[in-house]
Amino acid sequence: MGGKRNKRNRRNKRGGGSDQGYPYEDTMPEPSFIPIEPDQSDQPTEETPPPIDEYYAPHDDYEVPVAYDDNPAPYDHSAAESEAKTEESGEEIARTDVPRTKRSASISDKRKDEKPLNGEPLVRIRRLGVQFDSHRVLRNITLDIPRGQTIAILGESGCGKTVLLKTIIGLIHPTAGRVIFDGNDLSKLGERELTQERIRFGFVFQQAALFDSMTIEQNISFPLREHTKKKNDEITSIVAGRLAEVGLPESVLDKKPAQLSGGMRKRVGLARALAMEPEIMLYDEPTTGLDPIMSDVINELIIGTRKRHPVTSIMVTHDMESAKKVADRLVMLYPLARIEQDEPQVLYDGPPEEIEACKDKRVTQFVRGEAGERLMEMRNGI
Amino acid sequence: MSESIDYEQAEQEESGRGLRSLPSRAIARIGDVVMKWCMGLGNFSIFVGQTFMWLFTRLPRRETLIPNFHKIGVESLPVVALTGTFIGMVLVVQSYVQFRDIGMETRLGSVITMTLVRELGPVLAATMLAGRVGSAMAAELGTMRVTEQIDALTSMGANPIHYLVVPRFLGCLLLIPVLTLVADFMGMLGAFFYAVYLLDIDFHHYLTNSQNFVGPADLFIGVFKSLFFGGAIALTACHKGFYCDPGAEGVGRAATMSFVQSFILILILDLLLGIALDGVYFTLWPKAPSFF
Repeated sequence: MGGKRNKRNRRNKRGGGSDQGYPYEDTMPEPSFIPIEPDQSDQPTEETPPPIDEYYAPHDDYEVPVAYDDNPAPYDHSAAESEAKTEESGEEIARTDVPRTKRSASISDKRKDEKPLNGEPLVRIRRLGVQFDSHRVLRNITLDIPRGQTIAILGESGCGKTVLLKTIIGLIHPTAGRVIFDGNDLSKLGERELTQERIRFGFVFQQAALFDSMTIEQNISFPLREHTKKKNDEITSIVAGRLAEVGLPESVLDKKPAQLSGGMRKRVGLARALAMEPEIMLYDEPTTGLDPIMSDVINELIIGTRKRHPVTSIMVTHDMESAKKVADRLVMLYPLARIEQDEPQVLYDGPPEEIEACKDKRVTQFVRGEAGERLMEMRNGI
Repeated sequence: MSESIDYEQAEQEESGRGLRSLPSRAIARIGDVVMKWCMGLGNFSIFVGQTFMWLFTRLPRRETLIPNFHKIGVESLPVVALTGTFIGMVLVVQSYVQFRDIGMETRLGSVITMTLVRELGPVLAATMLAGRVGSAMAAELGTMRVTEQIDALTSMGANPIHYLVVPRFLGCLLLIPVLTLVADFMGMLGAFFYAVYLLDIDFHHYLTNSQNFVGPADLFIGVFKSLFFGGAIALTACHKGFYCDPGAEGVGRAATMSFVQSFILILILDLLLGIALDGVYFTLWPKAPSFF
């Protein structure tokens, strides 16, 4: 373990100054919330904002002030591994020390002591159907998403997860059924009202979808300049705050998205989505294409976002570990082309602890990552 | 296990209509093409309608206008001037012999100026703009579509047509008259230089003829036409970019088709507007302008 750390630090030192350009990440200091010694030469000269570090440093009497709850429960970070299991449950294990194969998701009861939020479900999906020309993608989907919940939508490629996400925000119009957001049927809203509702969403796209022609600062402040009349100083401070939340230094502000690495772009995308303090966050495959450490960074950021702002989160992913770690509820979809007319498209809808015990073989195969019959189906041309 | 494939049956299943004879299938294919063309036209009309609606509803932001104006106007200026110059000179080269045979080479001034101002200046400036600016806009918007940036704009509550299309449309519309005038001027300059100094046409008669036979109405017609061309280029390019197919191939095809369709639209508009404006012109001034 120690050897691995040294290697990483040595790689950092070889990078040189921060004007290297791509690959930029070599010269970046590690984000401050992972407990590895950062490379001193690359530290920004300004003092790092102290309060943010405390949120991420896991220690025994770790109490997070949850914005919407009076009795915050300590975030239980105990990781359960087969070989590296320690006796003391309270001992923190730095996430990056654990090799990926053994870092099975800990299904400790997250936030079990927190009060459940009452009221109308924030998003109600009623018998939703989406069809593109003659190609049917979604059929008869019915879901209720209560406020404050984090739901992960799983499924194979091509099962309609991203289409579902885009239909929830109104980017795609359903051909059957409806989506009701906070009591408003999205298809009945006019352009102006739909714009007002969209401000309450934060959408993190798969490739971050940053605007190429603008700098990072302009990207993150875009929704603020578009919808609010805040002064420049206020906008600058909000942007700086968001950057600090996602663990990026202020030196990226003047760069263009093409000069950043994939992980940094994703974090900028997250910062931009958070700029307007949305009530509901939508993540489209947040950890796809990232290395294991950066995937966990994104997971931690999603969890951290949830703690700092009272958001409902809908995450589309096929990363099982990510889903189990972050989500309260898992929903699994199946591609329409491979199920019968009367079968439901939603194969599983429930807590992450019980997905392994699901009777449906397709679900357990997905969870365990087994090709099995699927390989034979593909050979037969289905 | 027989592996023989019944081609006719496969084709019928593919077309999904169960038509047996060749003429019916041919007609069905023509029908498909016409349907697709009608749907494309409808899609384009809705797009144009939305652009005009956003044009008059809300002013575009300054930081979107100025960079676009610079790209469309300032950066196109050298190449449009060059085009104009060479076209003027080529016109002189080709028409000189014909005019000399009837002894009217001094009238070359009016012919070239009239042609440039009415037709070639607007059309060639517009073609150059379609190739340079139109393809670039289509590719840029196509790439934004493919990398979900347009979806990102929509999800943040900014209308992409208002944010992306309106500045480009305004840029093309307002700057193409200037570019047309530059093309006209450089064309006349190049033609004058070639005719007077290289072909030894009389200096005084060349200029007097140019002045007397070409009036402000002709200049107005040319510039008025160029407005339509500029609008057509911007709308075609933005439409192609917005609704491009996914992937790099889609973006490339969007850029190509944007130029081809803009050019066809320019030619059609040129003809129609020429007829319409000539009708107006001869109604207002029944006698042609004359020296006498």
